[in-house]
Amino acid sequence: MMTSLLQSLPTGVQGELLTSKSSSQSISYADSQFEDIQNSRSLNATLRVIKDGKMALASSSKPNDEQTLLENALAIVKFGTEVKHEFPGPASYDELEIVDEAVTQVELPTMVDIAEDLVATLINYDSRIQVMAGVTREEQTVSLANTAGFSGGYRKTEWSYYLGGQLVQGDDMLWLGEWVTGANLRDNYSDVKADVIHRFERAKTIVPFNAGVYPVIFTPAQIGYLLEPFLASLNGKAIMRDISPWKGKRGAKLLDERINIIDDGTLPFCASSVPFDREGTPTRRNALIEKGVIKQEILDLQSGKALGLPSTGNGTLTGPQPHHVILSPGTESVAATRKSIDRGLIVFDSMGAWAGNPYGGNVSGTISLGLLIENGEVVGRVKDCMFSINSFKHFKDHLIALSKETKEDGSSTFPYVTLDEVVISTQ
Amino acid sequence: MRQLLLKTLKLASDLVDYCEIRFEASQVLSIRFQGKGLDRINKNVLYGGNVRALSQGGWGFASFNDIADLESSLLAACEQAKFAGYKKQEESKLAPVPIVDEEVQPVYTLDPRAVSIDEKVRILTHYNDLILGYNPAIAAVNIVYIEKVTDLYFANSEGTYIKQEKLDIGADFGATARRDEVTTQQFVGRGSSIGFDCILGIDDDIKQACQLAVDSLDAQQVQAGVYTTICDPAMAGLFVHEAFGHLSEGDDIHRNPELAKTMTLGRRLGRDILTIYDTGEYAAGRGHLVYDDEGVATERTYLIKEGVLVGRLHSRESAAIMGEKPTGSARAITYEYPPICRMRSTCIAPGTSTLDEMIKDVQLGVYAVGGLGGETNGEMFTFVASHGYMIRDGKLAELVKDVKLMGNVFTTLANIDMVGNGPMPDDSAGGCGKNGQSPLPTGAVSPHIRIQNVIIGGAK
Repeated sequence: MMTSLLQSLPTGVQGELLTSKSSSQSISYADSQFEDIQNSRSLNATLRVIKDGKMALASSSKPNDEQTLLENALAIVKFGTEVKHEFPGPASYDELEIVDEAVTQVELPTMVDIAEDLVATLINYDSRIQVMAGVTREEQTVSLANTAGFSGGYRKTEWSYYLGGQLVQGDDMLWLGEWVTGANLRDNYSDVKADVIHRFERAKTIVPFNAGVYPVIFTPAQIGYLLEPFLASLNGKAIMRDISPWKGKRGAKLLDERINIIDDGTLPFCASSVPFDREGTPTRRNALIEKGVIKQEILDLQSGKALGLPSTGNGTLTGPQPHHVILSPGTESVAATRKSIDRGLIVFDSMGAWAGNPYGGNVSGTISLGLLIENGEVVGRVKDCMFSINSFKHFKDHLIALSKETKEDGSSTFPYVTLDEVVISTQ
Repeated sequence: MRQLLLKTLKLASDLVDYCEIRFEASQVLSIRFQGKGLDRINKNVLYGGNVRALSQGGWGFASFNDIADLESSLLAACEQAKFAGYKKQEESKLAPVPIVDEEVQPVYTLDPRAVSIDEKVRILTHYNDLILGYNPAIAAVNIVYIEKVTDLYFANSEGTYIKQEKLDIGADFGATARRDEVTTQQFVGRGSSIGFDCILGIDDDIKQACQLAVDSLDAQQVQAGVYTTICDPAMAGLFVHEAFGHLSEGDDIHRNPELAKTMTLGRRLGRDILTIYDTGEYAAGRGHLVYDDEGVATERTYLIKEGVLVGRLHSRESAAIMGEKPTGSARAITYEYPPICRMRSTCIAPGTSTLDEMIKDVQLGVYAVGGLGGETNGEMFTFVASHGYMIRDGKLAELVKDVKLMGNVFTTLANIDMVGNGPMPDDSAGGCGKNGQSPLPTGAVSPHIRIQNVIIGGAK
């Protein structure tokens, strides 16, 4: 299909065709009961064409729909995006460790056993908790080819599971959970169970708390929200559009020298690793910020061309995006940092911190799971609080510590980050 | 299609308690402007279906792209349902609903298929130029236009067959202003289930958004604190969606006895002035729905009437388990997902207060305008305004930015002390997310509301 469709393009039209096929199976528990089994088979073909310096896209999930793809793409290309780049030619790329055959061999009863065990552990801890759990395995094959000669493909597996629960006591609704994903079969169930129970245990006591300005430890799950202003400002498209406050700031030291941020699309068995990006540029490890100094923007072919730079292997259909963001750890344990805090918070979970204008740097979120620290010890859960920081300012002037412990999820690896001067609003 | 679906369903009759097939063929056109010109134009075909089966209380679900896989998918879903039922060992419960045999065709005010792509691009280019040319401080544009026309087929083992043609249009017109390192954004949202005309003639609204983006460059971040807050119709719509609508979704309650106790019908949650309902009836909005994805006719569902909890949003299963009526609220974003309890257009019924009456006795407060998004975990919620104005001594005062509200749903509902008299619809290109299904088109119709003691994050 790939060759014939690209060969059928009219003279003067460049083309790029991506086909993907995936199959997945998942089982889920809700409210401590078996919920359902889901099987999904999906396929999709996406054709991008460039004609007279303009690019358009058509896609279809209908099998054998090449003619519609071709007609739709050619019908809209005259309106398309003005582009100065061309599709890339042949390229060599590394074979990555993104397939674990063990994932494909897991049988349904085994998945059910895993989920049942997760659920039972939490029910045994506290039968009042309405437990949610699920296990999913997925397999995907992707092929990409273009008229400039690039041709590549890969196969990838994905394994994920989650455990969480809701404890309702009157009008108090405590929800927490943990989600694990990777290309390989991850079986750290004991760690996840212990972590979830530990958090429920520490959250049981509700303590009063006053508004003010405090030191706050943000857990790894929260760091993505805090770093979003940096990633948005390094995004080549934002720079190209002249809305990034970091336009032209490469080489400037804008953050604390302990801040090192890396984007890596090649990590073994990471859910976000791929050998080449959506445009056919091989992925790589990019140091974005080193010792607080801006080193590298996040670029695709279009934004790279506009800025006179090569793509960094971050192309997607919606512009350049990071693969797997790493914030380098520090040297102190999070426990040691906690012990140094007289009065402050640990934020495990928040809501709405993703919303707002990232280019201004202000990040605020409702603390849906936050624990109060007094004299270095956790004394209980706080409620009805909101944190506010400005990432540009706080990661420059108010960084207390980066923990030596880190945590990986599907698209990031972050330490705990402790910031001072965090504004906490509450009743 | 009718014959194929009903005939295939017969294969399930001896295998499971209930079975349904949903098949979708959608044409999606999306156009995006960013910067000086058109950034992206896509034409996509979504084509596929699913089978959902129920046995002894356990569900099986299989999705597919190739109609030739329908029979094997049905058998797979039935097999999974039997396995799930074996684990559950419960009676399958589905609230009874009328058997329907109907084809639904919308009455369009302006069918988008009758408007050429040339004309659509010309109209969007006009708005793009309008934003870019408004003021030298406008650095960028972000216009999103998404149009989806769907032929949706549904049949179940009880004999229902429905074919629905559905339209969903969502559009955002965003302006970004920048001065040195300060960047601000404002946008205008539109949406419809019946016509392309929803995006026509909005120059004045777009100019107003541009002016706000420019003015916001000089605005200060709101000071963190607890304020009497007046929400404009867009913010009120976002509030009722995030703070209360999600808590009313039956599938989160039906097997959770503690939550069911908290949400006992008859509980007083607000003052007499507060009435909230959810409905599929507003054809002009993105939450319009004739039949849900279980083939149940939608209705106006009162959730709070004169301050008292009176209803919730149900699928057939959640209704049966709770002994209540199905409300036509089971929705799925595409054929790749099973239906779950979701909102349609969530509305606050109009009250009697004018905006002036709401403002005049507020010594220090915030007027929050334009909803950018929000989130809830059931008890607590947060939502973000595009901008706000301080209220000082009973008058609107300076413009403020980065206005993010939070609260406890029960406290906040009880703290609504005034409801405005002019309800306004609110739509955009965004949508609602739940259980990995996002964005689902939903809408809101609300007047202004005033809430006492709202926590607002911000500067110290």
